[in-house]
Amino acid sequence: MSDDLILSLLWVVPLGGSLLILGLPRDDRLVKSFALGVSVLTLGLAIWVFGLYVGGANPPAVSALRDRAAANRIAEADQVGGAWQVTDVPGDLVVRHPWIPLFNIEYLLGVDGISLSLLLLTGLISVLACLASWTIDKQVKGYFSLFLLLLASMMGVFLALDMFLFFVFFEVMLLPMYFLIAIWGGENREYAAIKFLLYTLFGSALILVGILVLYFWGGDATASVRGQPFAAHSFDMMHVAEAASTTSFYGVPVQTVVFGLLLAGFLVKLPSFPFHTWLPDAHVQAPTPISMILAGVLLKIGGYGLVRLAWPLAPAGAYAWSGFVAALGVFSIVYGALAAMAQTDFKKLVAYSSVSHMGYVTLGMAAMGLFGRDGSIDPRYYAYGVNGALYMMLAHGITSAGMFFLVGVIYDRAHTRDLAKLGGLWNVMPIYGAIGLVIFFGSMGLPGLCGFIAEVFVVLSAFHFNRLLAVVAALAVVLTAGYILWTIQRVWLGRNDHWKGLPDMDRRELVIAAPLVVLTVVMGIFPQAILSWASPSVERMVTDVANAPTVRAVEVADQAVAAEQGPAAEPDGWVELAETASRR
Amino acid sequence: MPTTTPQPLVPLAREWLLIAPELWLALWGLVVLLADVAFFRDAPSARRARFLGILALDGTLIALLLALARVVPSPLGIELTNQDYSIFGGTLAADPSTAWLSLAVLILLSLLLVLSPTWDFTDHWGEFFALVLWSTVAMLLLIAAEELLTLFLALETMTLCLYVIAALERDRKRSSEAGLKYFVYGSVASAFFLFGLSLIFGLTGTTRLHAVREALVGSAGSLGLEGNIAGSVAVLLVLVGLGFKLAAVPFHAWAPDTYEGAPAPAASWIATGSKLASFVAATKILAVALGGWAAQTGSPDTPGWALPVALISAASMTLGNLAALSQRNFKRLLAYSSIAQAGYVLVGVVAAGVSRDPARAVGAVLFYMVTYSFATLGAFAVAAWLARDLGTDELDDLDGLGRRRPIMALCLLVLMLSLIGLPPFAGFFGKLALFMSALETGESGRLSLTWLVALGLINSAISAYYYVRVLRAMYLRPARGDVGRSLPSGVFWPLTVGAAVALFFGLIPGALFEPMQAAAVPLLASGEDPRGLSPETNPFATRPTEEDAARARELRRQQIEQGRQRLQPGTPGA
Repeated sequence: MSDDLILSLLWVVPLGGSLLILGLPRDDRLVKSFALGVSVLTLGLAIWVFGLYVGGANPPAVSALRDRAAANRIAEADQVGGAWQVTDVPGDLVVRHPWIPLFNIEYLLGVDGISLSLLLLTGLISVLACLASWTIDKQVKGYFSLFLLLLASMMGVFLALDMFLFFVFFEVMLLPMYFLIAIWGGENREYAAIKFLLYTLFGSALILVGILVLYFWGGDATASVRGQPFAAHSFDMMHVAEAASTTSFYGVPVQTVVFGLLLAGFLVKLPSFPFHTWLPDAHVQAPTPISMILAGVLLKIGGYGLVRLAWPLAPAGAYAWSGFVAALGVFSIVYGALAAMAQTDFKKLVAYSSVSHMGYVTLGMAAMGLFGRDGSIDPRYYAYGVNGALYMMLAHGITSAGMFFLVGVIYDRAHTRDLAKLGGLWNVMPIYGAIGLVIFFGSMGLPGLCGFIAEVFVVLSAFHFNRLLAVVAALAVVLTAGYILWTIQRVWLGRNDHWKGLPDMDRRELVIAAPLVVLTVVMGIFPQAILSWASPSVERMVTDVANAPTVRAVEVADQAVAAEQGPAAEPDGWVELAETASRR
Repeated sequence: MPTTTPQPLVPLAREWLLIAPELWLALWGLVVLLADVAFFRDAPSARRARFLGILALDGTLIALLLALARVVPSPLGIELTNQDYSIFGGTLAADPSTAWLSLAVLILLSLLLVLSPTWDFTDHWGEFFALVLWSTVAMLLLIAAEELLTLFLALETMTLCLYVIAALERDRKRSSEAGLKYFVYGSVASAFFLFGLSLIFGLTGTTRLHAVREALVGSAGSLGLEGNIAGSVAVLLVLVGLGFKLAAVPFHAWAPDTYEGAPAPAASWIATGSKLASFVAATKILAVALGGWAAQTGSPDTPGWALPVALISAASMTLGNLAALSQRNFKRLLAYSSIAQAGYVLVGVVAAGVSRDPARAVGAVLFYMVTYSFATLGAFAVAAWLARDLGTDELDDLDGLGRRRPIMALCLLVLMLSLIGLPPFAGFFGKLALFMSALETGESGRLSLTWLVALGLINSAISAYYYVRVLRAMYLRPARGDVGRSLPSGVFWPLTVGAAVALFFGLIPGALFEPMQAAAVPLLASGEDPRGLSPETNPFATRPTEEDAARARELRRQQIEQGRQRLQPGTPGA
């Protein structure tokens, strides 16, 4: 099968499933099995793509996505006839076709290590969430149709390399999510759903403005990309990112604005303080499987947007903002942890823990220690940070989906999520307790489990960027441990006769939990299993950002300001923070 | 620029053929009226509605065929592709812009005629259908008008018919109030508009749009309105008139009351057909005739009409959306929504004045207006459905429609999403095309218009709140009472066609955008009078000689020169 077809199938299969399911007879079991089949097929396709990516004689993994995307070209062969000459390199996992030629909009899909890891996560979490949806008994057809539509759009977001196409998938995601929360959610579902919708729409409006500014910018006319003069008017994110990181076409001021817009847009989705308030509401009201998807995949789309769009498209803007963004990340970590500690609702606690964990993603991205002491470009530490951010997204995708699932399991039985009423469940449900322990410790970042690797990478990188922020971020681990351990104590430990006789997890629930538990452990012990193929893509992105002439310009300007203020003594963390704050 | 290669002579008879759809519809209005008087005098109202509706629809379908002959080759030989003609002494355009847009208006009209008889709201069915047909004739002429006076007459004929049909609902006083309010506001606005046009005539000495343009655009490019007091007054007066027709803030006060009070079919025609034609007229007056007054070439911030129109646009979308948030009546909600939508489209009108690629901007305006019209007509069909079954058209009346009528609810969902501007529906692409055309300006213009674009996008997010309330009612509320118990075909067609248009042109926008852009090019270019091209073979009785033609050219040159002198700042005339 050609690589073009298989990439398209990744989103076409669930979309087709979502339409076909409406035509099935009114048989709940059949509908559920069909949806599960489609989800498994999608996961299978994602794994197949993974095989194509790393396997074979000349795997796509060895060359940069940017080069692969550029090798596929569209040329106007015959303008009158409207025929297009598409040069397609077979087997390179990039698809490029014209879609709306009038505006240079293309159907451009492609994968690299970053998107592939998230595609696999999406496939896996969707299969598990689909299994977790077995208890849905209200309007089953509608539910699974929307579920598959959501899956299709999530796949599309991670596949799209055309900014317009990306935006289309990004927006299509909203509608199924709105209905899934608003119809199948808890008591206050309508409020939560509209809040989610409006927050995300405002965020996407900002993203679209940012994309349009990039599209229409008329900068340095001498700029050229791959030997061709560059004049913007392109939605190809690889092409535009190359212009941003190898030329001065997009000057520092415009990059600063564009970065601010993209950042704000994706921070809503991530979410990070101060745009996080939709998350606790949406999570608490959403049904369990949708919470799993929301935490496991949707939040990652915010992080993916940062890695794929915000940083590569505006590296100098990112560098100029980095101090502020890193501080925001650290603040989110601490704020999320403290807020989680204050919750009495089990699900809300897990939701705030997501805010805290996503703070590590922001910090890892923003800790742009790009230059060595002698001023030479040395992005090694920054690569740690971005790798850590990516790993945090994957680890959090596994553990948070697991945590929301565990909350759902107990809610189905006890019909309460009040931490004050729970307790003593270990005696009643020992398997539940064991699984809960692994997943919660994984989320806490216990060494040997998945969360630890990510936190270490991020904090290491942050140390090179700003010691004070790193210390705060590292100390926040204590807060994380605090709320996780306290939760374990309040849910599982102690004696509580009230819950006597609750059944332990059944077979279906164990099937859902098993992959999550296994991955939590495996990802903690063998991080290379993922990083070996994901991290080259990260390093390419980091190198591009670090070598951008505009980033150098920002650094030189900063140095000049610093030199004007007189030679400082070896700065310690506090001075560095104060300087960072005043400079940026 | 227009193609100036001499075209073969077009005989006079062919000019009549070229406006055959308009003539046919005007006649058919009389046929419907007479048929009503002659055959249905004593028939019950519902039956009259059905028969006359079918009669009017038949006539419209024939007009549609005639209009189709202007797009595709036919035995009539009047296809207008790739031509840039004006006919009847340069008063009407006969080019792809009229061909494509009249097609869109006539399809909308057919849907409206299918919709109208569903709900028995009046005793005056003959008058209703005749006035709808005549207002459509005026819309078609308005789209084709190439000359200020023709344009004004068409605009007035159109609104005059609409004033009456707004007041036709039998049982409710609100309907009379709607018609009266519309009439009072409308006539005052028309007076302002006419005054503005007369000033333009006084300043340029011509009423032909392209002659006005030539008089205003100097050899060094546009000068804007710097120091030109008479020109500024003319522009402001014209803007008052146009603002009323487009229901743009601050001339929008009539719209919510009229939309709510008027029967749904009448309100839908005010919101769709009339608005589509008015936007074409506004584009022609502002971007074509007064193009030289938009702003100085390359800098939209300088004095000119671009700035006030941008402000009107910003105010319309913001105020329209904010006011819509708290509406409970479905038609009133649509009224505020259409005020906001007019604000988005005005971004495209500004762009048509200052963009480097005005054809792209006008293409975006036309694309947006066509898709918006289909979506809005579908939404009004739902309002008519509610009013027919329940007697009211509140938002709550939609409760539970999703369960009782899943397909219809899905169509309404598509329309609402398209109106919000969510991909993959046509509204999204239309909005994007409008905003992208606004950014396609020079270096300085881009920055100033970026704010307008950002405001537009933020407004789309705000608008989601009230459009989603429709979805909430349909899907999240239990069904109450009789809503959607029966499904009249008059509701089925506008709704499904609207949804199909929103989906199809959202996925393949090029299919509509390309004809619209093809229509925009001749709309902006100066139409050649085919008779002026070769005077020797002119079919008119008094054939002008070469000398006459030369004299006419000299006279026109002098007029333009005089106009230009009057426009110089500081001269006593200005």
